Formats: sequence, C-alpha cells, structure tokens
Amino acid sequence: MKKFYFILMLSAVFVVQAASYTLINDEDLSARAETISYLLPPLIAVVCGVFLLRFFNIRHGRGLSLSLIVLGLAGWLLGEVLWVLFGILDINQTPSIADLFYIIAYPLMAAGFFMEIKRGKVEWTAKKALFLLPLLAIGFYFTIVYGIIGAYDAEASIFENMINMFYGVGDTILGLLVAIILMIIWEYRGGKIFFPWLYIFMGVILTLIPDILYAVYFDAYMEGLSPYRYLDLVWGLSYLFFAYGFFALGQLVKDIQNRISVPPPAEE
Amino acid sequence: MDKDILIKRAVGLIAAHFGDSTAKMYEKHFSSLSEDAILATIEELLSEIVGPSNAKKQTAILCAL
Repeated sequence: MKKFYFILMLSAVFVVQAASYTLINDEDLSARAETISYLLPPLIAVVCGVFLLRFFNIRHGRGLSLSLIVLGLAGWLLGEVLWVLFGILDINQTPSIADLFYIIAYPLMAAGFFMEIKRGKVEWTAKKALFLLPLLAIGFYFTIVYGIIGAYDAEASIFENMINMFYGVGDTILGLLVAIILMIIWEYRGGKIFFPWLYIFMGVILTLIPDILYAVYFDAYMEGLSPYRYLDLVWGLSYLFFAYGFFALGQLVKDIQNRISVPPPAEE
Repeated sequence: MDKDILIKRAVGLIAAHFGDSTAKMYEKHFSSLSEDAILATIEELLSEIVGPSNAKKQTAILCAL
C-alpha cells in the first residue's frame, strides 16, 4: 500500500472515532459506534506490527526487539477488547483481568526499546544527559505524583489501589521509554530510520499523557463525563502513530530490498 | 580481513537492522564485490538509513572485529 493511501486510511479511522464520540446523538447507536471505533486503532497497530515482523527473524536483532514491542501492543489490544466486552456485559471493568493485559505490556515494551538501544550502539554522553535528565525529572515527577500518589483512593479497596498504582509504575516505565526513544532518535538523525522512530515516539507520548490523566480523573472518566471521555481519542491517536511507525519501517526495509533486487545496469 | 568473514559480518549487521530476508539478498550481492566495495556499500547503506554518525560507529565495529 502506498504511503498516501495508508495515511488517508489512518486519518479516516481517526475521523470515524472522533465522530462516534462527538456527533451521534442516539445513545445506543453512539455506544455501539464508540465500541467499534475504540477497538479499530489498536487492532490496526498490532496488524501493522505483525506485517512488519515478516521481514525479520523474531529470535534476534531488530526482529526480537520489535516483536516485544508488538507483543506489548497486543497486550493492550487484548486489554481493550476485554474492557469493551466487560462494559457490554455489565461486568466490573476495573479491577479485572483486562488490567493484567494492560500492565504486562509495559515491561514487554521496555525490554524491546532497551534492546533497540543496544543494537543502535547508542551511547550516553554528557550532552545527551544535559538534555534528557531535566526531561526525565519532569516526567518522573508527573508520573509519580499524579500516576502513583494521585491514583490512591482512600475509599477504594487495597486491590483496586494496587492496580491503579501499577498503572502509575507502568507510566513511570513509559516515561523512561520516552527518554530511551529520544536517545534512539538522536542517534539516527540524518538517517531514514529516524522518521519511523519519531512516529513510534509520538505513539508512546500520546499513550503516556492520557494514562496520567486517566489516573487523575479516574471517576469522571468511568462515568463517561466530557471532556474526560475524549481521552479515548488520544489513546486511539497513539495507536495510529504506532501503526504508521511500523508501516514506515516496513516501507524502508522494502525499499532496501527492492534496491538490491534490481540488477545493476550492464557495463559497456 | 578475509572476504568470507567480512561478508559474514556485513550480512549479520544487515540482518540485525533490516531482517534476514534483506541480509540474504545482500549476501549474494556481496560475493561479487571486492572487500573495499563491500565496506563502501555497507557504509553507504547504513549512512542513508541510520545516519552518518551511527553508520561510522557500526562500520568501525565491523572492521575492528
């Protein structure tokens, strides 16, 4: 698929999701449309990830790190599916087994990104430290204060509080990932692989922000109040960035393969 | 450096970055090139994809092995 059509498709998915959350007045129809449009972006991200993996050997190299990242996203997709299913069946959405799939994704993705750092021979220099450490400090402050401490609810059970705090820990890992991906992007500047990693970076950032807001405004989100319910749209957008990052990486590998499969012109 | 070893390492580097199928294609291509041409090809390819500074780092490691 050409880049233009792929971007068009992703944009259409986002517009449909935004429309289902804002334009449909009928409550039943809106709920159904929201359910379908909510699951589409993570599904597309995982499908794009799996398609990308066909170029690689998932047992080593970039194939292994990408497969861990895709596996993490698959965990989020499973979590989203269960979340929606429990909502339809009127079963408690959180704490539930859906949380397990959401939470397990964080260490998987962290492992994938750490491997990527190793392969890229990314080095920690004073210049990078000067740039990244203040960012890391701010990121950790927000995730710990709002994601972990802010998530504590005196009226909730210990189990519920533990689950909410696990999300905070997950977000702290995600904050660390942001710094790691920034290092990867920095390392690859001037190269074509810079852009796919930039899109993946956008995906992580757009997951982290609504994650923190979800922890802070948990009750308002669960009641479906506006504007808190629109957090779903930001999560949706984050999945679409992951999808585009995988697509762009796949296109890059395809481009390299095509270059070598075209025989060089015969010498005269 | 022995050409076969150089090809093996260059192909390994390509496999790590761009996958096994891409590496196989380059393995065939490299067998018809001289050692210098292999190094130039891999540096040029990496420079375009991972950027000039990272490419230098990767090819220096390749030669040092």
